[in-house]
Amino acid sequence: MATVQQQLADISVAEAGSRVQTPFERFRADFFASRVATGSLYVLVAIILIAVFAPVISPTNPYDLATVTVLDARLPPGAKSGDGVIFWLGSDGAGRDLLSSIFYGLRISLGVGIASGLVAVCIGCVVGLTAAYFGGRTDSVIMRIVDIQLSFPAILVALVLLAILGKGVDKIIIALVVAQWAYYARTVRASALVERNKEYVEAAKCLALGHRRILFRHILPNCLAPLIVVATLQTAHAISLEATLSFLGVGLPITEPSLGLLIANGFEYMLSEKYWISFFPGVALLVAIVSINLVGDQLRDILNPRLQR
Amino acid sequence: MAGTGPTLRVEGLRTHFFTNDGVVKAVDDVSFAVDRGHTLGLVGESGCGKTVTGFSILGLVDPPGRVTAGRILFNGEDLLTAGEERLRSLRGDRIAMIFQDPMMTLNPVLRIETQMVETVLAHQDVDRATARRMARDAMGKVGIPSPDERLSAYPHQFSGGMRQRVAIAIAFINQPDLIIADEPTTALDVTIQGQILFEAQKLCREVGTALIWITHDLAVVAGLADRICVMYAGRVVEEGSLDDVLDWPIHPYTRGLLNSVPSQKKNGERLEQIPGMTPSPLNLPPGCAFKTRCPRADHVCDAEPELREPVPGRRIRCFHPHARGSP
Amino acid sequence: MSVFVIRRLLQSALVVLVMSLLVFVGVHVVGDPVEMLVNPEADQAEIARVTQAFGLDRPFYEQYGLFLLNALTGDLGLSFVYGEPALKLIVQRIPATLELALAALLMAIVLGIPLGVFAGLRPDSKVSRTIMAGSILGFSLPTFWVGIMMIMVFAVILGWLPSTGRGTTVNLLGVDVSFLTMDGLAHLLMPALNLALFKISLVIRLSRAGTRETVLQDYIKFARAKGISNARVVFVHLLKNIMIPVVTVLGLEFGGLIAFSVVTETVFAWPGMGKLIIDSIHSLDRPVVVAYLMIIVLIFVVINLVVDILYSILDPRVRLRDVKA
Repeated sequence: MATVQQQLADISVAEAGSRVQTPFERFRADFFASRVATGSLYVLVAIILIAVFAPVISPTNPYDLATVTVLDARLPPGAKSGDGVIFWLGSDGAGRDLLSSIFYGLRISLGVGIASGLVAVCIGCVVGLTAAYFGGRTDSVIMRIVDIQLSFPAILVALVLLAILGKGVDKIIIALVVAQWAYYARTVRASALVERNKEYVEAAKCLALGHRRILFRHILPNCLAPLIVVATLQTAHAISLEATLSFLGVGLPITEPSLGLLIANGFEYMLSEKYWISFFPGVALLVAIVSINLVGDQLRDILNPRLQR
Repeated sequence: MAGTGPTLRVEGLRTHFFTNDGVVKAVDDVSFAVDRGHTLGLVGESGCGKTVTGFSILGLVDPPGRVTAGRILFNGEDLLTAGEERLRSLRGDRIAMIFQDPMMTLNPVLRIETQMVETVLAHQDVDRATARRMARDAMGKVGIPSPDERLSAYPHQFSGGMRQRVAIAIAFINQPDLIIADEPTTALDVTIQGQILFEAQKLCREVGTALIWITHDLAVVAGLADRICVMYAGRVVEEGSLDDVLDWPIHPYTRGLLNSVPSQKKNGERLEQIPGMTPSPLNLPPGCAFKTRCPRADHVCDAEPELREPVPGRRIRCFHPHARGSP
Repeated sequence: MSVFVIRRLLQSALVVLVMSLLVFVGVHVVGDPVEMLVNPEADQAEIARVTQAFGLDRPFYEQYGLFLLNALTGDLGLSFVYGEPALKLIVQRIPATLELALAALLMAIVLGIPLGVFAGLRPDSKVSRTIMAGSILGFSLPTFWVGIMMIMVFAVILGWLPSTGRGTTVNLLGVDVSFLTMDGLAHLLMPALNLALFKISLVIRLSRAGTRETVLQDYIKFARAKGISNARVVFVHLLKNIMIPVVTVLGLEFGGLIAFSVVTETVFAWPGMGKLIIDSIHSLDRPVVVAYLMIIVLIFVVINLVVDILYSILDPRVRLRDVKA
């Protein structure tokens, strides 16, 4: 006859046998459980590496005026340039190798998107934490501003700012930051509000820890999960936004062509069936954005407390 | 309407859930019968399979669950072989169900009137005005004051007790032959509980509806049921008329349940409990499921006990039944 | 209910006022206001006239007051490029943009909700998986690139649809609309679909999530236990519940449609507000830019107001809670 004591003993033996996973290990296991997300992560890493090492791995330097000549213009994919270099993806209207232009373009697109994202995250964090922590009037005023800004689409905000400020890398980063910070602020505030009511904050206050310490050492780390998800998805959005603005001609100047500008350049050749000039940069942009979105989606699914086992 | 024979007869019902972690035998050989106008109390701990039994009768078991064996004879018709359309026409009309949680049973964005009227219109060929009148009358019958105002209200404007009364009204509105009430008073105050019990009993007597009252609380069915059916870990372990079972509980589990009910007679004494916990449904021990907690269990209990009828009208699944009068 | 509406109206008015101040400050703080508002090729007399008219030599609050006064009477300056009142130029183009945005909204609802609900009811079927994969593409693809590709495929290579511009218009109640003619519809199809793509994906995901969540609720099971037909369970019980978040998001996103029409109009040369603003930015036609900003702010505030009211109609819990407050 199995007594209750026997049963309990059996259970503890079973537990001692299996090792307890750390949260990070569990996170990693959950993430890589999806083949799609794993694949996207590899693609994303590859893209980032391409962007970082663009000057090294590009077949040509498309912005070296010495090597670029209009005689090579509008060649279809696979054709050879006058110098004997193969244009794997063809050349654009000015004779630049499209593959190399894409590598350099990725660099700029990703760089601007990530840089503006980081700055927006920092600003959003500070604002959101402040609003949630101090509550009351501060909270109401800050959130009113955030809400109003959020009621206007990002593209409009960016467009307006760029219309006033003009062109330039720094200006577009400013515009993207202004267009994004409010969204982060709201996300951080929401999680910080939940955290603020938890007991460990009360405990910290009892210990008379300073506000700043409580905010940054205690509350912030617990808000990171949703923030990471939002940041990932928003970065993809920022990259898309920058490309759109560049396409519209209000974004980056011609000296620093992002993928958006490359696509814009190819726009005029569309009707004469020289599709590659717009097509391939678009595909590169698409791959970057989709892979970021898929990774972000997976992050959201595994970090979502409601779906936790 | 039923001629001779019980309104509902369940025979050897088995409902299994095929999950990623294994097969959960939520209902494993359940048999009972309910006569016209009678009340059956289906008693057991949470997780013993009583709710799933209720859903199985109505054909509302969702995947990964499935009825795998048995017969469910409703007025002689086997529901397990009836088509989905036949089942749909029976639900809400001949067989109705009252759910446990009044908060979530009613759709929050539809008016009470809509939800009551649609029940009528789904089964009877009447016009809207008539259906509305029927709804109003039903509300009155379950003791809801000013039914006209209440009809145009939304569920969240009602208290829990009121909502459950509405659910009962909906269950009775088409005058069904059978009502399955799944712990309808568990989420309510004790005082309201008494009222609801009274209303339900009254309506059943009036209309001649058979009632299956599912609960984990023996005290509740003690004043209500004609017969009691005790379930444990998906199986029926004891069945009999209320008086017989209360008078002479045969199965050790039933005895344990009765003993753990606080009562006036035991004033000042320690509360009795059944030691141990319900086994996980994924991991039922072979043989009698209760053996791990039973003071009378021994190696004989490693074999599966069958449901026997030692005395007419009493069914019991146990190798060591309590004799009449034994402590 | 009316208390609710009045309160929202007052809030909206406040927002418009604040935004006008911000626009004004933006125009005046960033660079020389005279330069902002005057045609770069103007002569001294013109500069003097503008300075006088806008009171640019007066103190700030007077200038702002003048600006507001002018704005209320509909005078937001003359376009440098067209020489006509900026406000008139923009208002002329609103119908074209609205037509595009509304067509896109319609597509989002008509295509997005059924696809999303289906994907939610049968989440593991092949069709559902395809729909979800499509939706990820739908909102990752940059709108302008999709537009270009659409023109490439459907207009250039296949020749099925016209590539750019708006079709023949018909005057309906004083407004020129193009959806009443076959030619108009042919021209409207691609741009509207292009604009709608992002929204369709959004609606699909929202509807699917809402459906998956709602289907598990007790009240759905209860409705089935009452013997209600499957069709009614889906179309009445389920749909009304998921409509609330979908409508809210769509309403808020309608503004996004108008904003993003800037891109679609540029790609498809659709003669709406968006194209005008881009052209104006390029040609430094600042009065038009300012006028556009004010109109856009107004439009957005109205949209938010309408959404709030609609939401309270759909969700009775909100309506009653607000009345008690």
